Amino acid sequence: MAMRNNKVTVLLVDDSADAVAALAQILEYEGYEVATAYDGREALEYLRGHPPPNLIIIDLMMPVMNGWELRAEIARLPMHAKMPIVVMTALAGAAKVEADAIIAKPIDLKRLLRIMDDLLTRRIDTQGSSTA
Amino acid sequence: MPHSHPDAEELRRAMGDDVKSASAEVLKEIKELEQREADAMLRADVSALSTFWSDDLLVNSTANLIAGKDLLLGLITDGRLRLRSYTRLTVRAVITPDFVITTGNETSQLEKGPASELILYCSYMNFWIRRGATWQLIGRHVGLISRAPADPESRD
Repeated sequence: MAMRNNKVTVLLVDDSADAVAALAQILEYEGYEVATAYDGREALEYLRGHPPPNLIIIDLMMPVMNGWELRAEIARLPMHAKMPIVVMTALAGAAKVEADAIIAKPIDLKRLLRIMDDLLTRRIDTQGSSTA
Repeated sequence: MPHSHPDAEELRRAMGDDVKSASAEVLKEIKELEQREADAMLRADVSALSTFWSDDLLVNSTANLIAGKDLLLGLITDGRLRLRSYTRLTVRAVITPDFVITTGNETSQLEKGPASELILYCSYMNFWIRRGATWQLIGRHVGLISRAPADPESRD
């Protein structure tokens, strides 16, 4: 379990309630603060009404607003344009979406957690602040 | 004509007629182990699970999440992964000298969380590997068959 002095907030977007509940439990266990949304529109509403999360995890195939559409909308939000984005999808190599990382479903949690850690560390380094 | 052991009969149905008695013994052992492991999971007995599970255990869950032993034990210890009920029926097995594959069905209910009001009906496949004198679970894949409200009154 990762120990962090400051809570790192992750927005998790997936239409599968089971997947969201299970992954949120694991991310919280790993020390993340987790916000959830069940489609792209809900995610956009969250982003417009809350401080930017440190990272967003997006499923691609969702109802109402899918992951590709959400990705395009996020790019238009000035405060969120540089937010690290991890896409999780069964499409894997065929996903064709701009993201910092694309991870195949079923999700290898070890890999996902490592990618998240790398992306968040890189972002913190870029911003010139410290995790300590 | 001597009567065959029930496990041997089941093994013949599953694997054909040329089954040796040693395989029937292994099947009996593994089926008992599967029940003990399920009981340990229900009791959240981390100590027992730690011995049942290989250090390199790989689990693919109904939520399409792949997890290992340390994370799973951590979630159980932390109280995030607890079951209110859990039963397992081993339906079929393939036995080799050092490796056994079992498959069957499981019925479970989570202790808490959004799905805790539902009974989950799953199919599973377990992979057991021989470690000296004992067997350890090294792989597991669980798929959701269906779910239903735990309270029959609330069913549609």
